[in-house]
Amino acid sequence: MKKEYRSKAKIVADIIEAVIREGKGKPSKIMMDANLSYERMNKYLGYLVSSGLLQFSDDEGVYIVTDKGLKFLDEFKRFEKLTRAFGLEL
Amino acid sequence: MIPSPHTIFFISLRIDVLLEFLAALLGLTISLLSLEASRRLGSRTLLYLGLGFLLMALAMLSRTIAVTALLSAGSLPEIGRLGIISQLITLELLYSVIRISSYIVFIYLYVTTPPAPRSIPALAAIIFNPSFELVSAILLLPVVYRTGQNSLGSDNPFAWTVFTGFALLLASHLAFLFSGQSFTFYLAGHLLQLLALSLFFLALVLVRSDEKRV
Repeated sequence: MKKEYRSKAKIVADIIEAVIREGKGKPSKIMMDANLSYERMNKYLGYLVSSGLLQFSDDEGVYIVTDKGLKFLDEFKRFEKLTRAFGLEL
Repeated sequence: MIPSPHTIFFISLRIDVLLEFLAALLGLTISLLSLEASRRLGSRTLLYLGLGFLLMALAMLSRTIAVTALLSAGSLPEIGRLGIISQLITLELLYSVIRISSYIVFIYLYVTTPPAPRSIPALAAIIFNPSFELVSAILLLPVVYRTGQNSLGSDNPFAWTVFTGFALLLASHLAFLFSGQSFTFYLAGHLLQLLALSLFFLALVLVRSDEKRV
């Protein structure tokens, strides 16, 4: 089976969506929902927290989507529609 | 009173400058919005899409400047006009290179991402290079084919807009190809080009104003 190509932006959007679905994202659930290996997920989660798209709650050990993260996903969805109209993946 | 052919020519030239300028502005807006979104989202697709439209807009702007220079050269002595004409030929070459580069950017994106004051024909021959128009039309064929396939097999409501846009852009190059034969082709080319850019812009506006939120 041909492996589906996902851009960095798509992976970020998939992680944010996974966290939104759960309300509060546990790393193991995010890994499954976003279809990522443990190493890649940790790398991306670190990037998302440092860029302010996700917030880590030390008390509960879960990730929460920030307003910036919601804005990113909203913009991603709209531009994904545009690039798909061009027959391209974002 | 019937206007002289000279007057008609100048009025038409001003219309073509205006049409091309508007198309260039649309292209520039699409490009800036795409590049800005590319920066925020870190998207390579939007980067190349924005770059392609930027090159297309820059090419159109360069020709707008060239034709405006020609219009203002009408009152210059013969030797001054000769200088302007040689500059126009250089600008036309620059235009061709930039515009073809924009289509090469589009092709690269699609390949690498899954799935005259004397007489009108004489002026047209300076402003338009048939070889360039033909090369542009040929380069656009695979892009039109890909976007056409995409619009048939996609439920994306904006796919037909993009396909029609590229098809009109291709049609505009074919119209420019025959602009030496008739002035109608020349104006039709500009109208088609403006329509094409308007459709790309429409797709962008529709997507941006889409009320569906996460």
